[in-house]
Amino acid sequence: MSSETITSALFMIAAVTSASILIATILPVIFGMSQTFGAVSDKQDSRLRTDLSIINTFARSSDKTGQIWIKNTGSTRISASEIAGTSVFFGKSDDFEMLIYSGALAAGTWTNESVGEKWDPGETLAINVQSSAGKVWSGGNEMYVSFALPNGVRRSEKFDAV
Amino acid sequence: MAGATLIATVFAVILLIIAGYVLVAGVLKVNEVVVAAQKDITDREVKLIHTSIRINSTSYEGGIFTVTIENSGNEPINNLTYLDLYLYDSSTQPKLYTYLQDLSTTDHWSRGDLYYLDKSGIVKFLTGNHVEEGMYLNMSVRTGTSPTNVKVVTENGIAASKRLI
Repeated sequence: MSSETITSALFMIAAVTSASILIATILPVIFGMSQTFGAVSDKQDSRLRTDLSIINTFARSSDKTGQIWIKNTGSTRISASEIAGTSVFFGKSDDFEMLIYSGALAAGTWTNESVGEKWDPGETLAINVQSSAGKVWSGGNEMYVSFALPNGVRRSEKFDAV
Repeated sequence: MAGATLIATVFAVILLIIAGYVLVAGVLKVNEVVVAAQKDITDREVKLIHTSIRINSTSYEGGIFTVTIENSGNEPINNLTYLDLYLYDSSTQPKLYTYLQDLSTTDHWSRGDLYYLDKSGIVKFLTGNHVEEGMYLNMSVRTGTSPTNVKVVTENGIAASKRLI
């Protein structure tokens, strides 16, 4: 009788310990999965609600500058930090480069005209671009511009330089 | 022995329920968010398809350039703030004019008459800031020279342009 009780007690301790270890191991994984689901749905939501249209383009060969007007045609507001984190590619359609975001326009950089803290749906963002010194293009050349937000939403356009 | 088995079973069932709940809730949440976003995309695209504008006429007088646009679509233009006007001069560089009800500035366009033509062709003037289907809107801007090209863009990116020379 006594040995049976001890055996039962040992089995009980083993079962509780095993169950605790199992819970301690599996619960963080389950919570991790839950957070992943949340992050995935937030990203998908942001991407699907973001949309842009390049409305107007202009590139002048004399000073290798250009101006691009882009409208937020999505339903989400885009923050100033997201604008600053945008990748802009500009140049001749067969020899373009990635420009660096800058506060003041210089060779190899791009700037934007302020839209306040947020770029609202329907609002137009004007960006100024300037090719690097080593890039050569002239009036009549086919130019390429691409504007890619940090969430991967991208719009590009080809147009003629003057 | 029986007690240990029972405890282990209860824990296993609880774990299964938690794991199942998290998985199903996660999948349902992602699904719900994506469906809502896709509905939003569909709404935007329907509006895009139904939006259309036409440049009806232009004039330049006394340093004021006026363009009359017609809402030729089925969607009202509700937000004049984001109705953009681009004018091109001889250097072909476009200049963007945004809406501001002040004709003394040179960087903004001002709202002129808003009207429609009744069945007899008589002009009926309206107030308000909504350009409904079939209505006309005069957009005026102070500019030093007569532009060579004009382009008007709605808030959802639908454009109409006209070469003036």
